[in-house]
Amino acid sequence: MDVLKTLDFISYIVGGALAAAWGALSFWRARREKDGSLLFYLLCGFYACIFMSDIYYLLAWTVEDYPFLLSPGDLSWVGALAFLITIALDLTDGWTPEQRKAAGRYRLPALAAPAVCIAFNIAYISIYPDILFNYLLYAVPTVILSYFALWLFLAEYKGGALPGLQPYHLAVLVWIVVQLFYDLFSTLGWDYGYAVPFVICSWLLTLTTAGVYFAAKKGVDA
Amino acid sequence: MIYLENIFVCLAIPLIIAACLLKGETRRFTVFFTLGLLACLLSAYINSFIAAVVSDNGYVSLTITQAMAQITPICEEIMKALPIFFFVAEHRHGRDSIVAASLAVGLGFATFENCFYIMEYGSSDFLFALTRGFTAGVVHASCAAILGYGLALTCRRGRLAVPCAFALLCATSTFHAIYNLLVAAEDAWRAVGYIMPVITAVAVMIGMTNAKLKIKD
Repeated sequence: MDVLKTLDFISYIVGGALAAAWGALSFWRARREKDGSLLFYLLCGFYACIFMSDIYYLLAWTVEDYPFLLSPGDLSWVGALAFLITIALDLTDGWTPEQRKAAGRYRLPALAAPAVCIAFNIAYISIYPDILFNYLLYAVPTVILSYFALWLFLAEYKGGALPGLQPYHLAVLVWIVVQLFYDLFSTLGWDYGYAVPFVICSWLLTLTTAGVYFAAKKGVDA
Repeated sequence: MIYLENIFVCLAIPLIIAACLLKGETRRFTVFFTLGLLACLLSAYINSFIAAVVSDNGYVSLTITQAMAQITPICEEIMKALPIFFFVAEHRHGRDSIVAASLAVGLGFATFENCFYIMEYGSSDFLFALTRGFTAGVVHASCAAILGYGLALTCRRGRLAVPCAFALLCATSTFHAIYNLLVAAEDAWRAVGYIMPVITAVAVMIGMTNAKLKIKD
């Protein structure tokens, strides 16, 4: 149990350090962008939120040990989701009427993503109903983001005429899926969630968070 | 017992008179500075009320101090953000005006809070006053500046502004909470807490002075 707890603790340190590095890279890239794109500024905000969330949890474990009412670390995670939703809205903002029409066909299939998210959320809440309010605060933006990520992925993958940011949308989808499993494994009855699948998801989350920047960079450069 | 309303009245009246006499950007700065004072007064009331209500709610049992530590940053950042959101929603001013208004709210908030702490703990200790000035004061100003800078990037993009404002609010609340957590701890952690706002302020200053805000509208 101690080994798993230590591994989880280390994943927060590594995750925080990586988020700080990718946040700095995003800011540097945003300053270099000539077309005035918001994408990398918003990605910088996303990584700043992830970084602060990790730091808050680490400090809360190290410095204080009282229970949480509403952890500001969770709030920061919600902020990270809101930054990704803003990116999705920003990407659809510049579409022509033709592009909008082409993408509109994939709105219905994209509802599959929120359906999966809601199923996970129902499973989570049925196991762990005590923090319903906290979880809803986090679940609502996850559902919205999953819809946008799948819709934009399908529209750009099959729509052809749209800008090619498929790697970024795919990375966001993977990040959401890992998060859903992370939350579910944290509540499956193990003592404080420190079980092998939970710790694996914790490390996967760290890696997929880093992957979002590279996917965005690859999409923009292409 | 300190009567916060009285401190507010004596600080706000000269500022309101000054705002009537001034014009343009200077008047706007004075008005938002006064709104910052008001935001601090209101958040003090709301913090105390919420902490008392939720400190022992059957689900978790916390002391009022522990509840305050978690609620205060969120409540204070929301109160500081309200005048800025109103300014951005109602007036499509230039981006520099949004950053300046945000900074004014943050400075007003920090001034009022520092006045309260100096009255509460006494004004004889110079080191205490210096530390308050360089830490809590800078935290409020930095958080407000970050919020203003972020809103300035998206203010002319209608539907983008709402999720971005929410995200920025979450980010500044967590930053504030990290600071509170550190300064409430002991020894080295507290020292880190005192250094953190100064480093952030330097980073914000560098970011704000060099950034050209060349975002497409």
